[in-house]
Amino acid sequence: MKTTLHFSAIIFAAIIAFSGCKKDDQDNAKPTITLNSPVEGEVILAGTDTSIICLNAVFSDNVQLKEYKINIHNAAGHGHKSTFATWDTTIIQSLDGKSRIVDFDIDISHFNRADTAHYHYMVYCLDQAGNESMVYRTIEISWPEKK
Amino acid sequence: MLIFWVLSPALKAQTGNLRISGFIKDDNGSPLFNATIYLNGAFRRTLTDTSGRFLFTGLNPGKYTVKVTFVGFQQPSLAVFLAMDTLLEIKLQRDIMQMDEVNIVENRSKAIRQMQSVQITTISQTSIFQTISGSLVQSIGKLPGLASINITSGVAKPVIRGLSFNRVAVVENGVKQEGQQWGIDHGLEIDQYGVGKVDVIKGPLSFRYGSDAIGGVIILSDQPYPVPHSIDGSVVVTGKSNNDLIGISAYSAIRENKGFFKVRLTMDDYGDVKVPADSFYYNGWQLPVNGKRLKNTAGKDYGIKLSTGMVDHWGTWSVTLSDYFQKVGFFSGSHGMPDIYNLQDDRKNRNIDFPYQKVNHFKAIANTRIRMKNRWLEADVGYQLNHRQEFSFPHTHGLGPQPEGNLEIDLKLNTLSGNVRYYFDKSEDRSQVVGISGQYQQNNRGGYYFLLPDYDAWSAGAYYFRQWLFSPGWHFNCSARVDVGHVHTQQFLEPVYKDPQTITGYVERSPLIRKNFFNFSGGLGSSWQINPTLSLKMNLGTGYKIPTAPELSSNGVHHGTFRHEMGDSTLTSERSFQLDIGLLYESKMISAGLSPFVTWFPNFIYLSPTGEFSFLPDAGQVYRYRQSEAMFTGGEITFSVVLFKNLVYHNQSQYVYAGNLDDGYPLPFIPAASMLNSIRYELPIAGKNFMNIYAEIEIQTSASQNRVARNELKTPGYNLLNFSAGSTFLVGKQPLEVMFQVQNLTNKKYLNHMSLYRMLDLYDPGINFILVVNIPLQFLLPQKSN
Repeated sequence: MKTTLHFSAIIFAAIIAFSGCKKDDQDNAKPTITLNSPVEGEVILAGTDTSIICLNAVFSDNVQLKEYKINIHNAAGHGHKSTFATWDTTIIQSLDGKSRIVDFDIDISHFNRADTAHYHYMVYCLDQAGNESMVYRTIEISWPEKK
Repeated sequence: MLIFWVLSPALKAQTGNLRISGFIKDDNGSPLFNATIYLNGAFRRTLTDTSGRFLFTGLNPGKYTVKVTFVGFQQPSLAVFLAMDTLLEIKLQRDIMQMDEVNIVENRSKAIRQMQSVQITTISQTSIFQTISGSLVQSIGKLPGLASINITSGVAKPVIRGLSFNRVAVVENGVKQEGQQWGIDHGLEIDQYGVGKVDVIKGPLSFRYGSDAIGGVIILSDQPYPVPHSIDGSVVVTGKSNNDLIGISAYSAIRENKGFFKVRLTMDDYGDVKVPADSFYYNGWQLPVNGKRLKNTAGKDYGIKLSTGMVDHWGTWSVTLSDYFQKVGFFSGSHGMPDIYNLQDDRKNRNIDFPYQKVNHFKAIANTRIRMKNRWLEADVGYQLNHRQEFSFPHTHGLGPQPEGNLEIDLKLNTLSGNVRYYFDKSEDRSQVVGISGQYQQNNRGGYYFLLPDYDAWSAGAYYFRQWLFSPGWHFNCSARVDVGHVHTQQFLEPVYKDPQTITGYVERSPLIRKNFFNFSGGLGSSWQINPTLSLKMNLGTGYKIPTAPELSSNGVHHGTFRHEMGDSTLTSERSFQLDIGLLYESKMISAGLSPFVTWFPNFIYLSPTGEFSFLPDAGQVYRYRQSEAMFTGGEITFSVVLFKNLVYHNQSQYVYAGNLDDGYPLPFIPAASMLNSIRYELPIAGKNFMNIYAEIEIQTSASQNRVARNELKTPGYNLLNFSAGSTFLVGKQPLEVMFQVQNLTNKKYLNHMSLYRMLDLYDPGINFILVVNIPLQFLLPQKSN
């Protein structure tokens, strides 16, 4: 029913015109995260002196970056019944400007064998307006096999 | 009181092939749709069509009793000595003792409805069965102005004109349902088979229902009392192909002369939802949907309802006990991150694994109606216990001990409510009512995860409503209400651990809050019957909502939403001002309605992103409840035309625009503009052994939703094709009502903006064949002669 459609469009347009918007400087664009490291499925050996998880990421936003957050937790959480290691870590750092390259290493040399598992490596980024992005990788922290 | 006319005892007399047909009308001569006609001599029953007609065929000559039941009207019974085809016209008299909830603002009769300024949509139990979906909210979700937030196949919450959560009041048997409406993944806990009729009122009715009735009210009524000296009953069997649902609901009611007893038992059991996709994309990853089924979306619902009471010349009283239980899984990716590991195929379609939710809603409600000539008194008292539990495997974070058990969130909400109304001047053209209402709530938390503290809250209010005739066809009404309320939340301290055994201190997750609230609300309304076909309704009203305890004090990750939700103890009462207009044209062939509205909130409460990350490990940023000036506007347009005899085209469109006026950002959970186009064929009288035939084809169109709140996803538009058909068959003397539906006939892949799983980019259900068979039963009891 074309007439009905047109009629409704006119009515709604009128209503919207009356209601109006006070401000139009809204930022709805999410910041972008380019996560170069770790890569999906990466196997990282724990328990050696040089065991680290490397973050290499590029954060950018159309207006202004605010913060990033890293959280690493056992992938066998919430809905999974497998045994789980208890290690997890959360890091929150502030950001500014429109684009930042971040390198951040997490030391896992203190790990013991019980901590080996699949982990979710989550990277979040916020801009000033509260737009949020998240990327994540599933990584495996494993123990060097003795030969 | 009743008027019977045996209009035409003409035509030829024929053995075994006689008919009783007729019309059921109200006392103003308007046809009554969906009235039930019992033919007791033959244990048969039927319903009237939209023009109030009914028909029984294949009758032998003899004595029959015709009984008519319709909510809100007296239940006449009429003896017919059948020797030839007979046509009856039965006018029903309104029964003020059967007057239910809606009657302060509505009555079924067209004349009374014309006096009301608010717009009411009423649907019967039969209509619910014909459009049945996963839950009551979804089954009625296509009514103009309505939408639903879908959590999973059996769980949904109602949305009226873009308002939801604690801004829509659901009232059953006079008592407002109190669950945990604030939570996005919490559904409405009602057994949809046990609802006799639904009235949806759009717009603020705070004057009548207190806090929360800002967006509108959904009023649920029980099935009518059985006729005296009878046993009434039904068995409804439901099957759905999409989630392999099997459901059965059995109802029985017995009435002697005055006393009655009703019982209903319902059971629904369903498997994982099927979607028309083998995989979905989330955050750049392609993830599997094994066997096209969403893992862990199975569930089960149980309902029991017992009711007893008395119908006497002075009035009625009844006590209703009900319990609704639901256990339903959350999609495996919806708590925590969806990934290839937790989406592995478990090769089971009906199991409910972690994470899942369990909810039990118990209600005990007593209703009394006392008649004193043109005055009457109504009282409703109710106790409810809503027990919600969410189960998932615990995460340990930080240095504390590993939590024991899998009970993540455990909330017990006790609510005691009471309403008393006194109608001290009630006639055809006017009414005056005073009422008081009060409510006390207590919420206790448990579980290893903190989201919300213990709290208690009370509120009390008094109101006045008056309606009068201004000039012929033109009615006015006004209402006013005052309220006081109090919210008290307990402080919650969380231990800080050095190691799993040693507590080094405490952090305050929620403060002690004691706050008092005072509100005034009210409205003005007008209903003007401009000419016999055109009417205009207008309402100007103000509503309010006391901030809920979660809005004041929650502080934790709501796992279903991946975000840290934080309350604000400084919130004040939310207030709304609404203007609502209804222009309705109704002629014999065409009906058309236009209903625009605009609602302005000086201080709308909603969860807004803060731009700061949560200190809690498993969430992104903190969302804090804040108050902003906000505007909701839009409306509905309906249009129906009779194309040919029995063939009706219907068009319905709706739109909501909502925005924060302080910063210009759109508000979350606003339904996309949508339109329904349908063609329906109805044949009330078809042959000897079947009647009430209908068939309908519907195109359901949703526009894209690109006006989204920050971090909401834009949703593309879609078209769905739906089909439904049904009939009432006679198997011997036993009628069988068969109702068939195909939802999403083309098995279209689409995303629903109002689905909780939208944020996972997860498709909505594919094709669904639904079959409902209703077997009505009725027996007469031997009647003592007096």
